[in-house]
Amino acid sequence: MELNNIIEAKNLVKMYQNTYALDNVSLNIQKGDIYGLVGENGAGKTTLLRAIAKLIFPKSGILEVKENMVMTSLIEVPSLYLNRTAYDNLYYQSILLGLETSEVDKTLEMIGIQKGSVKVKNFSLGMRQRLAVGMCIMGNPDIILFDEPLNSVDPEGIIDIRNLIKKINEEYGTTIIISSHGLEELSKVANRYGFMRQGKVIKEITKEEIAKSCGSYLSIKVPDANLAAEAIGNKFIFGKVNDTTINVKGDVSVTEVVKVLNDAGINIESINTQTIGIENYYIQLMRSYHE
Amino acid sequence: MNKLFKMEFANLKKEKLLWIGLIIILSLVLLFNLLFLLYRYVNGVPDYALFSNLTFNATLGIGGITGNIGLIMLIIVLLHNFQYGTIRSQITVGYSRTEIFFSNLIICLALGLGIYLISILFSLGISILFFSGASLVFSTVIKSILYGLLINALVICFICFIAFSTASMWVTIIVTVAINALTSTITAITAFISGFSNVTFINFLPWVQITYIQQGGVDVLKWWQVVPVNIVLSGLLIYFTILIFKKKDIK
Repeated sequence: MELNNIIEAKNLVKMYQNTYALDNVSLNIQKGDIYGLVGENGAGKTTLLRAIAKLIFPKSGILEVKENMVMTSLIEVPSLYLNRTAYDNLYYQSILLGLETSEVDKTLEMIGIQKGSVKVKNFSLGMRQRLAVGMCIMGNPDIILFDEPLNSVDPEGIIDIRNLIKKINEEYGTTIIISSHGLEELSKVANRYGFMRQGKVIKEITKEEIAKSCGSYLSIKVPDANLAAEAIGNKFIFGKVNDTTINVKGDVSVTEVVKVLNDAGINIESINTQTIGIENYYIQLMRSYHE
Repeated sequence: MNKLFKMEFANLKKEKLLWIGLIIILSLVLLFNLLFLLYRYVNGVPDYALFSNLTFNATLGIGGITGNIGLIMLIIVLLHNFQYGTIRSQITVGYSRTEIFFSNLIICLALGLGIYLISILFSLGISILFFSGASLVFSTVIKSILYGLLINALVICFICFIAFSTASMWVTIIVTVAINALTSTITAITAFISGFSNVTFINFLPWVQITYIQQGGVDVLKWWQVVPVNIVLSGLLIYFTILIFKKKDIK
């Protein structure tokens, strides 16, 4: 295993009946990464997390997790004793992890759940999710696996959990793998991404690389896109969207583009700055893979 | 593994079902004994000795009922980590599957054999208190209890095998109850054909032995056959449970 890697997967294969849940998956996750696993339903994200969590066994391939790492997980549904209180659940987890009892109160405070006699079965889904997140972060483990950690969580809770994830990662260097369909939310914490489709990791990319390949562009509506394209020529990088719209890519000055078009006598109907976010990146990637 | 024990015991202490089950078992034992006491007064049967013997055997007999309650309690305790998915936390944080299995097995053995011993001793105490225990044969009582411990341990290993192989509470309950029903039938047939006479093959059928002991037929069992058979079967069940559980995908 390479020095910086905390998890290494090579050619993992897992099949359910005759379908590949993981199809030759290889990836490396480094210490301190917040790694976003992205993909459509059934892409293999949860299966990969389960394999890392040692809950399932791949049919073939090598999966290595650095030795003596404390790992916790929240995969699909929260694993909680429903007929116990939040305190009890955290207390049992603290015993499993060999932590002081004081960690339980600290965690309850962090996740914003009051110590009381209410049993978890009477909690809302969001509260259960918060508690399950608390059980994962308690004691600052080395690796945390989150599968849709923000499911059913209210907006305030989403912000709290996001901040907790950032805090634990920054302060303790905890490696966190998050599988989520909430791409915009994921983009606020993740520094690396693995895009999955049909059991394969089709692209691994850093946050910086995404920003570079996304960035912003100007969307310009004109009466004739061909004339506008001719005028812009090789001054800017552009793409014709349709007969009346062209996109000018890169970090360009709006004034400069307007001047060029005005000089060519082209009437600009509208001009907008657009940002290509992770969602657009994902859609484009999936489309290109499909094509 | 100590942390697993500590966690499970902390959890079990708060398991109402466990305490309710224990109260039901002890209440049944008490009720059964008191019914005999009442019968003695109503009918004026003077032979205390006869009743003390009857009570002890009959109390072992209601072990069929209390035993089933105990077994279902054990199954629920065994499978609550599968039911709530908390077994995933145990695996992910780094406990080996062998450790998890043994911690569950040991807790179930302690619990199951503990319940068995408490109900037997409770019943024995009542028997001696109310009926002097005059006709109780000490060696028979000890033999019954020791055989009971051995066979109960095997039954617990069997439940663990089904529970850890299937991870399903209902499958485990159905299989356990079905086996009990089947063996009771076999015993009834065997007893009908041969009485409680010395039938060699009974020494190789632990579930049938339970019913024999419950019905006072402990003396027909041969320890040099019963003990090794039960130990070997328990060992095999533990071995195969670990083998299956170590390769099992957890949902």
